[in-house]
Amino acid sequence: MTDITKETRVGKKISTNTAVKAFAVLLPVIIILAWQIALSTGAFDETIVPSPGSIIQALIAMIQNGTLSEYVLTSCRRVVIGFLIGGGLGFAIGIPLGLNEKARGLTSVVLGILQPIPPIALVPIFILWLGIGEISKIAIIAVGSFWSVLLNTEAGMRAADPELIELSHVLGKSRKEVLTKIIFPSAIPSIITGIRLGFSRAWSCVVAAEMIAASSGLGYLIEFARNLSRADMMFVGVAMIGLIGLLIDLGMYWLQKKLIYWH
Amino acid sequence: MVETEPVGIDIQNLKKVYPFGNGNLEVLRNICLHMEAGTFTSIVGPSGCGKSTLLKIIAALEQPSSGRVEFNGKEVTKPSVDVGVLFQESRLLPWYDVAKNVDFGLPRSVEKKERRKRVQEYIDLVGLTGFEHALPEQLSGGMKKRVSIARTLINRPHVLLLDEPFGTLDAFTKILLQNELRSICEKTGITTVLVTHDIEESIFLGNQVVILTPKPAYVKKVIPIQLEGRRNRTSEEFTFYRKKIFQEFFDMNDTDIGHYM
Repeated sequence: MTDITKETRVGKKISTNTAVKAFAVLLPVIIILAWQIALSTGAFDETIVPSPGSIIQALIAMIQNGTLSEYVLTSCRRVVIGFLIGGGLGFAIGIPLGLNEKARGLTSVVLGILQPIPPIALVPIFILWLGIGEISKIAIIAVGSFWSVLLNTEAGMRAADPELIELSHVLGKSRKEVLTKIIFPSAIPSIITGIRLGFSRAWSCVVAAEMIAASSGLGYLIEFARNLSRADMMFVGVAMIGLIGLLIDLGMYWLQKKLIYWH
Repeated sequence: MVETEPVGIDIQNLKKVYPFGNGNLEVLRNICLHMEAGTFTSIVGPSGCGKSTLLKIIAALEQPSSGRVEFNGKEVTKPSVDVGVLFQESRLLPWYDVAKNVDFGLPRSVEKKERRKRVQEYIDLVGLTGFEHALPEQLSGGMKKRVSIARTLINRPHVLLLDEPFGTLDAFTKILLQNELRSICEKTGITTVLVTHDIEESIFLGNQVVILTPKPAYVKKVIPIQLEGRRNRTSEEFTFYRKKIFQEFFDMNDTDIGHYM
């Protein structure tokens, strides 16, 4: 009796899980179909709400003439460099801030004022200071990544269980050992969260960054398409940003599972 | 197993006061105790009476407000890896497997070959052979406790301090580990101080039972335990000590013990 119940319960769980996953993948397809249907009934103006069909046509055309891969790679390159700089700085500053209460106190007002400023608000300032070349775009993306990494790294450095610290005193561990064997490992989950958020933010900054007179990239594509009133191309750009963002997030999730093996 | 050098513990006029609200909270008042080298002392008291604080001061994790603790006549001022402490929580490092957690108990001065040998020796001692590469999240509470015991003993401390180590375990695991602890302490002759609220545990393990009053705590009574050979929890003598100690507690609370025994 118990075995059958167990089997049923496990069986039920498996089919529920698969059902959820199947639906998750199916939902976007359903939305696209509904969209196509709505358009064919004339509910929306075809010139400003492109049909899924025309979007896919535009996508194929761009793949064929190589512009899509060029734009994607350009945006990716900028985001990676910007993230490495912004995230690297955030990490480098977050560690000592996390370890030193005094440092936190001294910098709290300055950081508190700067942090809420969204990267997009800095576009005009960066154009003024850094021109309209690559540097200003990368700078915007760097700012986008910086704060998530900084705040999460700082929090991570403070996350060590005090009971483990007390244990390290009992065992006569040196300050260096406490840092490498207790404080840093305790910080990893937070730091990874910071990196995930930071990279996500960096990626979503790409449109803002590429508005600074770019000649390539997905953000440029959207702006360019707007100028040509090509709604289908705009949607290609937007969809690519979303898809790549999803891929990045999945990659980060996998990285997290690998690094935090003890949970 | 190598016998460790016996260490006698002396607590002289220990006092601990904490700032609290507008004034002070006196937790320990004039504690004087002597623990003979190689013996097992159980300290019992109601919850919150300060017995953990007392243990932390002996471990030098906290400083007394006045008075001193001496090991073999020398004052204790800072924590030492020669003084093993077993906490109520297992406090394992979640990113280390069993072997690395036990190894964590050794100071860096011990070299690789000796380390490996000792880690295996102590993993075997606590009955966790085969679990060397398990992570703490895969272990039961009792197993985690065993790992922490191995980690505490691996450096062959001269003094063993236990802060309600079995408080979170189920009754069966508790009895098993108490038995194991008893045989380890008898074999090694390590001077041990146990803090507990479990009266049976205090009698089963101790050569003397120290009864602390509620805050501000002082030593109400020290009861030497004279039980021969294997301690039987149901024997007349055991029950005699149990009653005696319970009596002290109910006296402190002015309750008629007849209702409860």
